[in-house]
Amino acid sequence: MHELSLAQNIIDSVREHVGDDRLPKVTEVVMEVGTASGVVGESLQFAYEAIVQGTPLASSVMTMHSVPFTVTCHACGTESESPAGYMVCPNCDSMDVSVVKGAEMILKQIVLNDD
Amino acid sequence: MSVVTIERKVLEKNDEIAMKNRARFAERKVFAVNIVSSPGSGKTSILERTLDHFQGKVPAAVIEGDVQTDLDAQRIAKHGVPVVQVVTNGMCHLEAKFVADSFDAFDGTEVRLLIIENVGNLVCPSGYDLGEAHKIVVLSTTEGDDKPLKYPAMFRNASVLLINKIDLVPYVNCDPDLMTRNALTVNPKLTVFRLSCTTGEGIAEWCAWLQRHVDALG
Repeated sequence: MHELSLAQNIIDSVREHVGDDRLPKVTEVVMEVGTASGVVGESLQFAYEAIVQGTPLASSVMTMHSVPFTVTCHACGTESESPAGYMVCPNCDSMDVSVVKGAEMILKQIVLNDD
Repeated sequence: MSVVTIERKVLEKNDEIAMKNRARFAERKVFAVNIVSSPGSGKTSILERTLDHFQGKVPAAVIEGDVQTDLDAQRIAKHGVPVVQVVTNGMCHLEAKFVADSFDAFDGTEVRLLIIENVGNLVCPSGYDLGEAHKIVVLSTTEGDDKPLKYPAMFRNASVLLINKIDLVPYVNCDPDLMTRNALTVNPKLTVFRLSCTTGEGIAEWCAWLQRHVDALG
């Protein structure tokens, strides 16, 4: 996919949130990656490591939490994981479902060593 | 040690621009579709057939996305329709900002139907909202009937599936009924049309769908 440009987006957000002067203190960038987001976690980490080299974020790492693709069913009222990413309720086969999570990629937290 | 909690979508900036595009389209009563598919499925040929159908009936405009060249824009321009070519220089998808900038070129031009032809790629464009009313996914019979199951995100996010090159079914190992079932497994709400740009089959039905949506904007 386009992990390199996504990694650059993430770095821009980190800069925005912590400010340039505190960038060297960032130790960890925590991501949530949906299983249906189309993003390959390892590729994103690889891209991140490649881009931050020689920058104030060089000593930081990116960590990932995988979020299973989950739909809520308006017919039977249950919330279930739909592992293949289909818009069908795995419980009752209804197609009247909405996505709850797992289709996105979220910058969750930034950890700083500012003792 | 301190922890800053962000909870921010990585594509939030793109989504914000997409929402602005959507508001702009609504204000000008423009029905916008984003056509996505793998390379070679026939997006541009469908576009040409579609533009010919609407010639003199509905004012249309086109934004063409490609990694390199303006070959597609040259093809479209021959149909007498305003067209902007976006060359992404290697980027695998269009982003909302490209569409916002391109749409400026149509200021002062009457547009009721805006067709955005995305970069040929069955993965990346699915994640990027451009501000369109609907994503239209094109899948051709030569690509195989299993693709909806292999690339579900594109089919999950689309409203319409155009099964193209239907005239080639006798010559290729593809069952369009199975292709349809596979697509509906991923997204049961898909509207499916079968097309051939060679014979013209299905073009009228697909264009009637577009016409209904253009008319619905008043």
